[in-house]
Amino acid sequence: MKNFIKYFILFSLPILIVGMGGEYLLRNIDNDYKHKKSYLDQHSDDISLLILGSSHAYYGINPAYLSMKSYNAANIAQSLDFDDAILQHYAKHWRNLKYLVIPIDYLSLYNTLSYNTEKWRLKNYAIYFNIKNNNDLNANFEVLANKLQVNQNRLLDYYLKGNSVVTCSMHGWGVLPVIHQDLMLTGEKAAKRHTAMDAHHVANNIKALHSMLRFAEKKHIKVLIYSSPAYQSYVGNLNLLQLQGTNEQLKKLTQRYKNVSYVNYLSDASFKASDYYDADHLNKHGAQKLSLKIDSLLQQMAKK
Amino acid sequence: MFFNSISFAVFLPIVFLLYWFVANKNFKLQNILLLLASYFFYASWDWRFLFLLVFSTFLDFYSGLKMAHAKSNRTRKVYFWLSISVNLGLLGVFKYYNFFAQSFAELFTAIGFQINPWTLQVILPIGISFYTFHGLSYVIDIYKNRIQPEKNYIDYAVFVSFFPLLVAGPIERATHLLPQIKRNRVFDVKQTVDGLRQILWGLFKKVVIADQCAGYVNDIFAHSNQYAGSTLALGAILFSFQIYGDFSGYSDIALGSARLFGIDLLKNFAFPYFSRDMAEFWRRWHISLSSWFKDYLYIPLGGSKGSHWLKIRNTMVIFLVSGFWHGANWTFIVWGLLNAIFILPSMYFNTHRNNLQIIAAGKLFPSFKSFLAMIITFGLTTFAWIFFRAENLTKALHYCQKIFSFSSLSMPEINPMALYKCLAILIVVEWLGREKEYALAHLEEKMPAILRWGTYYILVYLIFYHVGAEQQFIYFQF
Repeated sequence: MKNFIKYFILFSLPILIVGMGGEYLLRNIDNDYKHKKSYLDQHSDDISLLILGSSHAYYGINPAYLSMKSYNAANIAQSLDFDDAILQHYAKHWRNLKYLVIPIDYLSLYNTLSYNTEKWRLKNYAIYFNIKNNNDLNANFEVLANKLQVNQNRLLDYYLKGNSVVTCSMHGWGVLPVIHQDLMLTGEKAAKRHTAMDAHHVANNIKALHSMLRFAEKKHIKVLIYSSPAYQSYVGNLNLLQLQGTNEQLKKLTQRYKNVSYVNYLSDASFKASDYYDADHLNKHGAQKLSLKIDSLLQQMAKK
Repeated sequence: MFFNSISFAVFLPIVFLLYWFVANKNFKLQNILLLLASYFFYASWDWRFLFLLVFSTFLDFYSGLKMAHAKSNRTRKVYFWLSISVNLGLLGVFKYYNFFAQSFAELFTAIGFQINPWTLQVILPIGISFYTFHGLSYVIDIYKNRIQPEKNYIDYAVFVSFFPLLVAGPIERATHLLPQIKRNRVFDVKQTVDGLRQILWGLFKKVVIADQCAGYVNDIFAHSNQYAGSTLALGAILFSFQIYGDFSGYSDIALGSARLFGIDLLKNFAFPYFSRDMAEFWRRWHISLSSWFKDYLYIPLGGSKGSHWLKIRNTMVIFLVSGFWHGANWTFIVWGLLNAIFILPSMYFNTHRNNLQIIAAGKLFPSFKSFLAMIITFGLTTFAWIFFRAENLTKALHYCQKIFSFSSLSMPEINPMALYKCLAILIVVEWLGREKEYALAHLEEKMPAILRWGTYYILVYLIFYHVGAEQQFIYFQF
């Protein structure tokens, strides 16, 4: 038995050493989550406007076009439970926070990061934000969250080729190039992908939303909920029942919380094909347009 | 907690160390530990279904005792039928109720009556088909006086719930597993290393082969109307490898894990794609289920004795029931029917026992005739798998129609080169190891330590290279 244990440890040791070395090197790679955490650690007391949400907000709202000190804490596939977790993580800060912008899109209530294909991103919250909304062990380690194939390429890209994976600006906005993908095809595909979401998540997402709105109410923070603009190929392929379900929930929320305003840009005709990167994400021109619209709305809210 | 999850990679060593270091001196203590570990393992999916497992276990245990001590034949019958009907009833409610309700509704709609059946909004308890069959064979064996009932509940519960076999088999027999549970187990380095090697090969088959194939198969089956017939044929072939890698990979992990605790489970796969006819294929594929159906259904029906028509009837019954066992969907029934049709000629002409030995035993290459027979058998099984994989019969028929169209003469639109290389590794390793218990079993005899360890490291590398989000095992849904 002792011999077996000895040989087993001997065999496993190189694997463990490579694994731990890989973990160390991967954690040293600069990424968006590290940037956002570092910014919020330093500036959460000064920020007046906080933007939460998924890729629609991450690429869609550029704080550079907003009049007050703003930060875009949205991220790709960030679901409402993680929006809430980030807000609560800094609950003792936010001394100057006056506005909260939360996008509620077609997929928002029907989706959660822990159960979708972007699940591998959970480790970013656990490792870099210290937010653990999931019991999955893989979600605590860089080396376990992705295939070795992916991690190997990340290491080569960063350490040998010197490529950076940071895509956000200093205010947390994600930059997408002006060149756009096939809007018809991406619209159809994204609508299908977002419709496949599970209705079982609605209750938990509503709970997370209530948690954020209660927090905002208590702290006298005004909340702007908006639905992101999307190209007609996306809008035209949406399931009306899911869309109606989302709208009904939003109606209930705006009636219940006096500090909440809602605006729907989903079919806003002022967004042209040239504003989109793909059918449900804005490029930098589109982001400028949406940011200015939101800024103007927030100014109106301030006057009330 | 899937076998390919990091949670299982933590769970298994903990149980292993407690088993050999803390409970080492006493097999009764080891059994208690195994039972607790197995219940924890099962509860990690859905703790509510643990009550169902405990209830089913206790019912069979109690019925077994009552049948053995019954003074009259009538009492024996009462307990026998109580256990059989409750077990099949639970399986029927959880697995088949919605299928029958919807099928009847469709039948009534077809003849002009509109009915809205009441359907159950329940999820299928994981492993129910497997542990129900464990219990059924135990109760039937006692009723037929083949075995004596087990008097110790812990030992019986370990027989039903032993975690390596709990969720997807192999379907064990009391005569094989219970004696192992009831005797002292001594740590054996050779058996343990063999277990680890089998786990490693199982993980390779699951993660590198099955999960990689799944990506292509899911895409091809989901968009079958957009692809050419040649791509659909490739999709069907890849599904053959996916389901083999998935289920035989699971079985290797299960058998290997059990070996770590000094327990040998029934072999479930014996290189089925190297079979030369369908009868041989079914002697090598999901062996524990095939032999269960043979012993508890085929032979009681008369088996292959009697007239040709009786043989044909019995073969049809066993394959249709086997199809239905896999799931409440017409696709599984048609899959069973196709396999029955493919096997019938050999039953009729009495050639079904022609190929009892493994192909090209003792040789490196098969004869041309054997090779051709192997390719044809693989083609037939692949064709049947289309029905197994398709969402419904309409889609399966459309899929087949396209394969047999002129678009099959073009090159496939998908060319997964990396996967082809992995499949080549699988085929070569399995071919070289086909005369052994599992593909890597011969490694210890043939290779010096340095090459052996090198092979293990390459396999570990390939597994980590491809392991991503945990993919569920296909047979867990049955």
